[in-house]
Amino acid sequence: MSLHEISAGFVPLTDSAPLIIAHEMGFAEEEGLALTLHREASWSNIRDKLALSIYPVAHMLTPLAIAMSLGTGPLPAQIDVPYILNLNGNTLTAATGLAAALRADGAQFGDAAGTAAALIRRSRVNPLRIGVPFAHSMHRVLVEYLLKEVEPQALRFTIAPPPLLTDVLAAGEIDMVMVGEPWGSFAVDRGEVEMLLAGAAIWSAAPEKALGVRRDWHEANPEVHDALLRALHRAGEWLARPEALDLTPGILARAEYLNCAEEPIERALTGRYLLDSGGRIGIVPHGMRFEGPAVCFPWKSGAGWIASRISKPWGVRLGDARRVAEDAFRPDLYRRALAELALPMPTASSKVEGQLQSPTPCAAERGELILGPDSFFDGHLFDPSA
Amino acid sequence: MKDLHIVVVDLDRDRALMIVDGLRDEGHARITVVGDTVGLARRLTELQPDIVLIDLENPNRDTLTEIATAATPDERPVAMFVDRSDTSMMTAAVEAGVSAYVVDGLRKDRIRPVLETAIARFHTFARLRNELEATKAALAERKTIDRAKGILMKARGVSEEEAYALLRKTAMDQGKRIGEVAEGLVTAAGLLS
Repeated sequence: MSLHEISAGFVPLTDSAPLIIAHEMGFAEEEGLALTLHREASWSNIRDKLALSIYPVAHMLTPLAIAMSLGTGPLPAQIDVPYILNLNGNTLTAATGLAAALRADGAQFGDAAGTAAALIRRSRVNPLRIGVPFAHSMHRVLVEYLLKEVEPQALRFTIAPPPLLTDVLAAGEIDMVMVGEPWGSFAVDRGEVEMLLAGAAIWSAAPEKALGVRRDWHEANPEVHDALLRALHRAGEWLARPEALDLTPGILARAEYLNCAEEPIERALTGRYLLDSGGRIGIVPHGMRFEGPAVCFPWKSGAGWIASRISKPWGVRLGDARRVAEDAFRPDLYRRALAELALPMPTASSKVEGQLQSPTPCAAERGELILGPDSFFDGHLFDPSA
Repeated sequence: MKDLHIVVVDLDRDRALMIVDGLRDEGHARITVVGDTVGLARRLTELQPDIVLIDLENPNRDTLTEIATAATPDERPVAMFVDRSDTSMMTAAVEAGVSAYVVDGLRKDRIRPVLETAIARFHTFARLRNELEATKAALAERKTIDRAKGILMKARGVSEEEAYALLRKTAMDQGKRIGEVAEGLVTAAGLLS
């Protein structure tokens, strides 16, 4: 049987695991795909190569998929999100001096409200200067949400690629970094920062990375599209197994993938982080997750919440932002692709975001589906039908 | 017509020099090379380039993207070069591994020749680098095979031809390349001695 060829872009981060594992553990091949992975040094490259159809799918920052579909940015293209690669996985770190001051003022790891309050007080003395890897990212959306009470002129963002963010911080140009793993852990290991929060503490079910798919491609190639989603689903389920923890860091650490040490990769996968170079540990109960419909289903309400947060900063009318974002998230494709696996599947395509404080069964076809918590740190509820 | 100021942002110094050569051949005299730098935004404001060429292997491209999307056109030193009427040129650039950012208002017919030269030089550099890597790999493999032959000759008292024949047979039986078998033998011999 000859395999369908498909190329996919990825950026070397721990949450590129589903694509890498789909290839390395043979799940893509089992679905009849010859998957070629293209490693990119920047999100700009992912954006351009998708826009120019150099490849049709990629590991993407969820807000970037929305930005491209909105026409925000140099190369617009309709990018659909039929699959969420992972929830959560970012970390917020601060220069050690600032971290100590915040802790003295009541901030604690895992307590987003307390940390936000300390940061707000701090912002009245000195502007908060935060580094993130890309403007159209959950990193920026989550930090802006955490610090929504800070005066706009007291909150300054700097964009720089992850390898440079710690250098920029060490040079004193920024005070905090919100970045994807393993970069936060690398920075902690360097001794220059302490980890303040996992992104999961801000919103416990943030759709961090999406599989971005050109709409014209999946409409012309539904079988290959569906096969890829099934391969990713199998990779996600494999990643949740105990034995995966032994193998995954070694695979991801390889020269052709993340090209780094294994141990820092493990931290995001176990949810057990080193918070500082002194060995203090922080546990993130709902850290980076990859497995099954409870994680990977592209809830339209998630798109709606992101749209509600980016409409002002990106200069887009709220109505347009929501319409385009909710149209780009495609639970219909997720259902179709995985139908033959007969998984428990949510009956709804939208939910009230923020309602679940703990794992909760949801209305599902074919059995029981437990959704993880999706709470916001401030108890906010986002009702997409309001 | 004012001479264009072209800034080349490239992590690879050899490639940067090749681009500079190519641009000089085309008559451009004002070229600045910028290596990896933390203060890219500041440098670009100082340099006031008309065109910035950046290699796609450079993570700093995301920094440049941010610079290029500053709030107002006045604050924006350069914007990404996008020619919607000719995506084939942009595809060619991306496939060659280069991206161009240009100052607002610069005419396409001034940008295209610069980008074409950059694309050509990027391709040449990639080809030369691949040839160099292939040559180095072949040389290293030749050395390893020689060492493996020497180990076999000593251990089994065979001639050089017989040693090579043994390596070749093992490679064929195991579906491996002779170089791989030789490397395995050399590693094992090192551990066993």
